[in-house]
Amino acid sequence: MRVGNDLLSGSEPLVASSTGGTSAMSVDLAHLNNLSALFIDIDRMTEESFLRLGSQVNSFRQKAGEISACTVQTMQLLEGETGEQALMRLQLLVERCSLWFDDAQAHTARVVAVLEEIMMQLSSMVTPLRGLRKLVKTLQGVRISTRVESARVPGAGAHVLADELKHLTDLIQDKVQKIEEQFDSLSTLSGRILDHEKQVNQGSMKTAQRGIQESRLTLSLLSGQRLETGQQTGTLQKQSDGIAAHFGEIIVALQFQDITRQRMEHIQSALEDLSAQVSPANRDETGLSSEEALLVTGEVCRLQYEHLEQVLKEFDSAVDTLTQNLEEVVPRVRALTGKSGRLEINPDANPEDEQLFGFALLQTVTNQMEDVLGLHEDANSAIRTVCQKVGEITSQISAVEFVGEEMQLMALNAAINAAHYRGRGAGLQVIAEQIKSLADDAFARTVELVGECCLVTDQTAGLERLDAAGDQLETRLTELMTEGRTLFETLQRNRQELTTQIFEISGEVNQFGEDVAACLATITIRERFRAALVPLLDGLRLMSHCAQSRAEGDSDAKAHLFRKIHSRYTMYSERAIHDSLAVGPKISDQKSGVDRRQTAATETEDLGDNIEFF
Amino acid sequence: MSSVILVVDELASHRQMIRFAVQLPGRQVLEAETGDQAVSLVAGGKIDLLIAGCSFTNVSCLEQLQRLCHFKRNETLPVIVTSHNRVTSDALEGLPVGSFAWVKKPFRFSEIQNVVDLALSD
Repeated sequence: MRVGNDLLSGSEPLVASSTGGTSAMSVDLAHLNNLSALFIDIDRMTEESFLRLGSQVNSFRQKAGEISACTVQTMQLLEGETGEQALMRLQLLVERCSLWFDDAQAHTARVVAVLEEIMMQLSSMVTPLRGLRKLVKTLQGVRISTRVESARVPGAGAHVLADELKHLTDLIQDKVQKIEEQFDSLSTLSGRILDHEKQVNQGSMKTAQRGIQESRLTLSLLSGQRLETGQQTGTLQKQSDGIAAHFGEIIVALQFQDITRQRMEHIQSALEDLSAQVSPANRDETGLSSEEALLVTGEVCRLQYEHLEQVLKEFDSAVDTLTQNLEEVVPRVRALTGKSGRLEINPDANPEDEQLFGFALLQTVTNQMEDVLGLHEDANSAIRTVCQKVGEITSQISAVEFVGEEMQLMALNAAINAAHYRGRGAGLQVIAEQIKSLADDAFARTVELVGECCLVTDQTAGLERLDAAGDQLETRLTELMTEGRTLFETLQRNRQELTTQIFEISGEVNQFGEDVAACLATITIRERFRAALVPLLDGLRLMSHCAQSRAEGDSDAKAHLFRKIHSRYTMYSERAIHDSLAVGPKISDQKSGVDRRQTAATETEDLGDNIEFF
Repeated sequence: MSSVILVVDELASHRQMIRFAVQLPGRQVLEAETGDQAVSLVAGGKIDLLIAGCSFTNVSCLEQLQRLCHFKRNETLPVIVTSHNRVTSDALEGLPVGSFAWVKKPFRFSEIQNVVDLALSD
């Protein structure tokens, strides 16, 4: 952009030199052109520096974004299917185990009830068994009496009776003995099972309840730790996002390069225009004398020197702001480092131990569940044995019943024989009556025993239901164990992934901090810009000084010329900046752009401070 | 289908900055330093959005736009202009452009991002 082809065109006549141009001094055009050429190098240097810095800061922005993305992944791990969801399912599993024990306890109560009832029935069998034993003894006595009677009354059939009685007595004695043996083993078995069921079951229940309680506690602690980690991760994410946004703002703050560039272009244009104005080839057109050319050169160079100093100040200030913004990030990144260090879930514990401990607790619970189930199976098996033995007792009792019937017949025969022998058969009659009485007694006892055996058998009628309940418990146990194992493996994998993720975040954050600090140490843009401007500043100062020291003329003429330069050059140049930026209705008319712009601004609806839509 | 954004600005660092702000998955960002380069790109292929930085070039901002929009006579091309001074609606009269927005320099990341999102969603 050029300031204008004719610096002083359309103006009042130039002030002539009072000395009449005796000095042959001329403007050092070569030096002026060299100064103008420096701008290209400065522009290239600043552009490269800003590109590099912008790229570096953007990489930091992206890094902060990556850290934020990692935290999002961490949150997903914590809260997702394999994390919090799995933990909740595991906590639910523990409660389901607790419910299993409640059901197992109810089942145990039913089994105990059956066994106790059986014990009661068995105790009721003691009396009739005693009766049978006594009956056997009495029978032996009757047998002896019959022998005696057979010797006394030979031919009355008493010896036959005695033989039969012996046979029956032996038979009944054998049966009663067997019944007693079965009864004893039955009582012992039932009592043992009942005691074992009560004592061990209670022990298992207590251990299991303890295990469940500890599992609840462990899982609750784990849940709390994960919640803490989740909160820390959320904070880390917010901080990372904030840092990313901060870097974004730093990038946009680099836009001050545009302003600097515009000012530099403007100064360059002014020097180029000056060069054209004071060139001897053009001086005929412009009508500038050599004296005036020197004055103009000196003053314009002085003005540009001041402008350039202002540019340098603005640049310094902008770089200060940039450096400050970058320095502000460093403690924030350090805070990020601290935060990432606190993400560890129980960092002091050995991860495998922690998981195994929790698993061991649940394993204890399931072991107890298996013990309880085993006891129930033993109890059911014992009850079946009881049934079997009761069946055997019943068959023995049937034999006793048969003996009783035989005794009835025997008594009848004896009574008939006694009747044949009339007076001599009186003893036989008594024996017959005794035998009949014993037979009746035997009958009554067997009826009683059979009744009790039936009651025992009735108790086992609900055994099928107990079996079914036991099967259900076993199925549920298998499901719980399988699910528990799966959930633990899931949680273990989740923890490993979390650890890896957190380790990665920590590494990224640590490196991030170092990179930002290193970047701060290598920002040399201020020094480089200043170094590039120094030859330009020196050159302008030298030119201004030389030109002004050589120029002659009275102070009034100088003052008048300088006023023109100032009013035309400075105002015109500034106006030109605004005009070239403002877009008026007529693109060719740039001089009145400022006024038109002000009017348009009031008429157009403004949707925001920095943005406007059409 | 990815959106193609053309960024025209003399300053490479400005083009870079806008690229940093608007480049997302599903978006392709092309750069042009001069109006001529931009015209070639517009003529050569599909451009979904133009972001033009107004600066002190010989050709004024609107003249650049006129040349660019010459190739889009039957289409509407959303244009976002970034400049230090406000662009008024009167200045745009006669230009065959689509939705148009002016973003004042210096702008924030979020400002240019929001405007681009809006322009591409239309």
